[in-house]
Amino acid sequence: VIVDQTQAARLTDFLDARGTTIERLLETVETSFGSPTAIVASGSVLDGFGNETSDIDLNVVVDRESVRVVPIPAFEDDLLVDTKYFTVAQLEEWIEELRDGPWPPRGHLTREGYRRRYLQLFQCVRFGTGLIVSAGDDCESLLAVLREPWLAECVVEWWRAERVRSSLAARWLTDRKPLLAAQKQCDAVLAALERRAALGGQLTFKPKWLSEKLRVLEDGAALEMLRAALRLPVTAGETPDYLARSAALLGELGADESVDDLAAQLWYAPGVTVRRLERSTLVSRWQLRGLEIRDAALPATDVDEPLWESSVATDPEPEVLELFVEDLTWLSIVTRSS
Amino acid sequence: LTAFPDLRRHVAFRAYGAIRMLNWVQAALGDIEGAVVSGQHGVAASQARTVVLQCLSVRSLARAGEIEWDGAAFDFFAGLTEDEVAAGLSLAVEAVDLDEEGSSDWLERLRRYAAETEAGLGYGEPLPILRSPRGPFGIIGLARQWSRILSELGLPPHLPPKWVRDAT
Repeated sequence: VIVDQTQAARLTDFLDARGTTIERLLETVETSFGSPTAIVASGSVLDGFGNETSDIDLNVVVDRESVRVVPIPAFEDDLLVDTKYFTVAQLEEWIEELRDGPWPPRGHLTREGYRRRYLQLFQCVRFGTGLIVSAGDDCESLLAVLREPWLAECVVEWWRAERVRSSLAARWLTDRKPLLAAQKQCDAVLAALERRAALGGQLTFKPKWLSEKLRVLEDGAALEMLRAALRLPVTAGETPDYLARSAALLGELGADESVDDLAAQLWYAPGVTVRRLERSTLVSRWQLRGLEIRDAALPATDVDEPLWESSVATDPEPEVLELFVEDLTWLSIVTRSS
Repeated sequence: LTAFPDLRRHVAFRAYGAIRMLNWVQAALGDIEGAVVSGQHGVAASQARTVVLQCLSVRSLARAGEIEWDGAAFDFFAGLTEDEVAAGLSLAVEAVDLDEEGSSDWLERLRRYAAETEAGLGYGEPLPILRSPRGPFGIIGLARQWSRILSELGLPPHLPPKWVRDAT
């Protein structure tokens, strides 16, 4: 079942040039993990951005309750075939969570919740935009759901929240670590450009392809903004100019819209321990580095609440801000509860 | 012989530095090579930033860097001197205005920068190439090599323990 002739032609041409075929590609799919009920090919070649070092990603849905598989790629001569296996239940669960769960969510968002959403989007975009090479009846309907407009809306929502998260990080880092702030501000511009590409229908979820997505969209203005964003400062002295220029780019990209609906949360980062020492608090991460904060008490690390939460327009108190600057916290963006 | 002032820092540098080279630097260098040949200069510039930031973060692991890199305030430059940071970042910024004429010289310098970063880890031989038929076994081998001491020191594992068990 090959439904997209353009993608099929891209794949066939790419494989032809390497002396192989779709059939031989499919022979690399392992069947001992369960019989495949759908196979979707994805990656830069299918998206039209392929080059000579491109690989092919095969996303295989298998008919069993769980898959415990180390992702070991296969090689067809010099061609890398990266195959991942999923269950029907996984796909159903991800679709439901993505489609019915607006982003950013209300309530608490931990690092695990953030990473889960990222992986769901990454994988569902592959299933939703790749070439369906084979699909049984059950899977065909699931794959059809992934080709509905809601998936693009999820990608747009993701990049908006990422832009806000990176901008906020840049703002909080500017005084203490200006060069790092510039990198975060660059990430904010890239997220705004990713959002623009997604609005244009380019959903591929790998940052390295941003310029190619903008090229396909013939968005010369955005490509110029991308180049400007990547001209990052190399010394702290150059950062004020860069931050001003990139703030202007964010304005052009419409990123100065209201963010009154959003809030920021800071959680302790993984590996953080908090100890009291007389009137001080010692905060360390993996016992490799840390901070001593005098005359301030901090909550314990096993509390199931964020360390700090407020609107994105508000800055934390100095000791909490210092925890962020020293990378001892995890920053989440959430939708504010009314 | 290598003298070190702090065992945890030394282990963090060598163990996580190697995985960062395999997962990020090798892959991004491969992307750049393909992009330069195909005239995809935007891709090369984007991945040059990745190579340089990850190399800086590996170098920083020896001094004050964090072992988990996904936080919003992860500092690629922790503990590095201004000159070290400027040298790396200049190489990445150069990629923005790359043209066909200068690309091979620039790519050679970038490769050398990555190779120097890897050599600093002190493995004595090149790390396995992840995107090769034996590559995944190489990463699992590294994970096994370090898993006991990481666990002893209370540092997080390289790979999900399940993967290492399943691959046995």
